[in-house]
Amino acid sequence: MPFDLIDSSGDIGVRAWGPDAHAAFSALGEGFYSLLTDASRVSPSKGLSLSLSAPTLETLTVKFLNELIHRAEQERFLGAACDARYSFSAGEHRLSAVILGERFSSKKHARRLMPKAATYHELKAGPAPGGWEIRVTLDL
Amino acid sequence: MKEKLRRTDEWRLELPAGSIPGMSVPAVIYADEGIERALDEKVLRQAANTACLPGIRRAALVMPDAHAGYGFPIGGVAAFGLRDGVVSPGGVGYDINCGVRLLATAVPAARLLRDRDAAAAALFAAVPAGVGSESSIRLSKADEKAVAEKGARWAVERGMGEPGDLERCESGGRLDGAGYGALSRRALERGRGQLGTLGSGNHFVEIQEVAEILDPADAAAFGLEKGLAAVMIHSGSRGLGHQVCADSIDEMLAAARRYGIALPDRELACAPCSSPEAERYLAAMRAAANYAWANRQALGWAAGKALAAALKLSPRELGLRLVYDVAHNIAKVEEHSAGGRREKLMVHRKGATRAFPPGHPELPAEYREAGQPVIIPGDMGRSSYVLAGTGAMGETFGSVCHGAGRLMSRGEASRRARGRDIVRELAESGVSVMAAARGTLGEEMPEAYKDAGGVVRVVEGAGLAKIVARLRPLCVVKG
Repeated sequence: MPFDLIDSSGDIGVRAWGPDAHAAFSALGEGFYSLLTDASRVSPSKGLSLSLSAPTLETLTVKFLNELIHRAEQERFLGAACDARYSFSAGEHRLSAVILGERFSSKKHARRLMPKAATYHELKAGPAPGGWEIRVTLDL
Repeated sequence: MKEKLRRTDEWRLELPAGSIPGMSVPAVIYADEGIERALDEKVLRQAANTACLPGIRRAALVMPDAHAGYGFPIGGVAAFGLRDGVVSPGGVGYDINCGVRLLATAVPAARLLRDRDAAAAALFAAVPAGVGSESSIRLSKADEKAVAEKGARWAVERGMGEPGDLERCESGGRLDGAGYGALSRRALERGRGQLGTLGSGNHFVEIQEVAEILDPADAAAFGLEKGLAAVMIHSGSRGLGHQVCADSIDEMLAAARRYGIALPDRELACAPCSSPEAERYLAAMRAAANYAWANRQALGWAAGKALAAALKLSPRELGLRLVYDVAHNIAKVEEHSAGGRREKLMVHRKGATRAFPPGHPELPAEYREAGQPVIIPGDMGRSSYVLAGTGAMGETFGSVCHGAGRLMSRGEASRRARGRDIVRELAESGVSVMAAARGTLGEEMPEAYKDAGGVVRVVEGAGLAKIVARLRPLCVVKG
């Protein structure tokens, strides 16, 4: 999935893109997990389903990543692959996602960084040349 | 923005009011010429934006360890009138009451060095850190309510420390006005299993040596003796506090629109101090602050137990004693003089430390003559400092810096560390490091930070605090 990590002083950002919103959100999910661990070592053995809505695209983006942080902390869930579906209707931005992954194991998974929260700092989400792009900064 | 800066003396720069539209007070930046050269344009923009918020008093203050944050700069202080000013979660930060605790020991550093690797391994095992870490403490709902209301006292009542520890914590290790009921279900879920965990990023537990005493009288008052080992802990309110901030941002964005507050940056989202939105945030923020004090109390106790076991010492031989515990991400109501009159203000310190002067009634009796101990951590390879507040009440609302401050972004540090063995390099310079996230340790390498020595020299030069002691790292446990 196309994503890269962007510099943000003491914190870190994820830039994800794709031909459409589904691809960009899917890449954002996978970019997020690359912060936590080496995602190539995570087996897609368990599914996590999410369904979120928000009044703005920016808020939806922040909610999505904060949900992943919450699941990583509470359920120790690490994702290997993310399939997200975005829609907009009746003034609501909606995202449903299925993430395949597994529970963290200190024997198997390298520890990287655990973000505290997604922020609105320089957040961008929406159509961009060539498709869609999302940029989010995470507080470490 | 840099072209608008003017130097007012050896230690201070000023960005005048009006440098951007709506900027009602100046921004004052504490920096010598070296720190000025490293000053990020984004920091100036964020300070200028902060100076646009309603009811700000005197100036937006930028400490010498500042780097760019979200909305407010990290290393920033801003105080607002209670009647005409605002509360902003972005002025506190995601890690509410992130802070530093320093414990002195009776053990000579030379003795510790004999068992340094065992001590580091014991600390690493005793302090859960990083992705996937789990605390041995599992809070019931009743426990979590008590933690939110009692702060450090909750841990002391469960045997994790001495009653005397409480008066050696800023605000007694507890803020009044905490609202357990203001915490969201998610904040409570995140907090339940994380008390006694260190976290990730730049959080650490360090064993240090008191390497140099610069003010013998104050060092004696603080119980610091040259050549003895000390333990420094940097952590905060964990997921509970992060969630309080995340929960509040959307509500504050809506509040700012409702109250007609123009926001130059969304992360400056705020509400009038007297509004219901501000009251809800402050109740939750105080509960999170209390959680952080309980967390550092638990971490200090666990570190002491691990150290005693590794060094085969009795608690008496170890002689662990809390020097002080400071918050550096917090908003508090304090009384200060602004504009020639005394008034209660909402003082936001985001990456800044309270530094009250001698005689201040909030200081414990044993420190009232010396002034408040101020704990300034360095990086993994260079010294940390203990300062004493001297009298910056009229200028910085009794505040100074909080650390060394980043010089490089994580990405740049990571690129520069590529191909190097940071653990080995530090070991060769006498520092033993254990890290939960060894692969990202390069992002925390010493060169990624300013030298804390240079930062505290600016603070002392500006007359905000005086340097009491220098502590050099021996063992570092990172999240």
